[in-house]
Amino acid sequence: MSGTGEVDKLCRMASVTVPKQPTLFALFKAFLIIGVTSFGGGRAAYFQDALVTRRKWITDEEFLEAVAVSQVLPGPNIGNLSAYLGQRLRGWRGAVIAMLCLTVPGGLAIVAMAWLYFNGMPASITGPVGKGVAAAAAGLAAAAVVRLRGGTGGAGGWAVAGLTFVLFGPLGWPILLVLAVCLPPSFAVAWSRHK
Amino acid sequence: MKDLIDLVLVFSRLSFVAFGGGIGILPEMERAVVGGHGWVTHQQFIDAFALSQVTPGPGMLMVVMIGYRAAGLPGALVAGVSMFAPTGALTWLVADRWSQLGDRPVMTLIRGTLSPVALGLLSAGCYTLFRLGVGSVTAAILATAAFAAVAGLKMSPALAVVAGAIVGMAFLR
Repeated sequence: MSGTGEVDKLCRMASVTVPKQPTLFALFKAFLIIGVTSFGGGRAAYFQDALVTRRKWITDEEFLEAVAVSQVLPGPNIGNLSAYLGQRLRGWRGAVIAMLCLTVPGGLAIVAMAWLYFNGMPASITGPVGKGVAAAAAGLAAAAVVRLRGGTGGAGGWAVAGLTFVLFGPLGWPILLVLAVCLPPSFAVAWSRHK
Repeated sequence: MKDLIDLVLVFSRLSFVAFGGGIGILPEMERAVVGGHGWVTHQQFIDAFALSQVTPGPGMLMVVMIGYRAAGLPGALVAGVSMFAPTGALTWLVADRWSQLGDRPVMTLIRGTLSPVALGLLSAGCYTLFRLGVGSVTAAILATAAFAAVAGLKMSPALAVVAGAIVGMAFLR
């Protein structure tokens, strides 16, 4: 990698910020921590905190793009989000590591739970814990949204975000319909800002 | 063996119709695994969902529990892989093509289009979490405290949620 130094120098000359590319081990560590500690719903909040706020590997806008793509494509959101962010940070190896780190620890935990459950442990035993986790997770999700608020880029963006919220949240429209309605005005807003 | 093949077919099919997240396919999943194949009962299905909320990682890992019931450890593995790998590979492919386009102006435009919509989707997810998870005054105080600790005091989300679990054990019976 003799060219890396040259690229760095050129980027500095052009005063472009070089995106930080983590090592595979750093990526493994970051995603494994998320995989082991992400309880409750709204797990995107853990990615936002670990990758955007703490490590600054990606920007708010890149993160929101990752969220949008992983929701537009079919499949479990968080699995897709790991694959997308892993790819973005370290190519296919990053994607594989990210997905394994996210699913293997929880998968093992579920197998242990399943064994206990089918051998007589009542699921209600986890009830109070589950309620506490669910309430805290709602707060975490709200914190992630507040941190990402800069990603809307102005009043038009806010209107689009608000419309998306109302249709997908309280009104409970299917995602494809929500996108069909919200993407055209969002494109118009982005276009007008672009010019 | 037949059960393993059925697990692949059921969960990979479900993953490809899961647009906007796993919650939307739960009714369809229940029809397939309770009524269709009889792998679990209705109550076991509900309990699998509840247990997936107190274990780390994606909630859709609940399929691992259903696979375990249907065909033991191989079933658990097959169910998990079928749910996550095919659509993960698709997402990787899209991300790969996408990143080759680099930072052209059109990409800035696309990013600018997607960002507000994604923020709206995340807020809607938040709404759902509040509606399902915050049903009492204690829970509301807990959610507010978690929000303040993470947004204001930069506490790690994991710590906040563990604190939530402890408060839950003490007060949310």
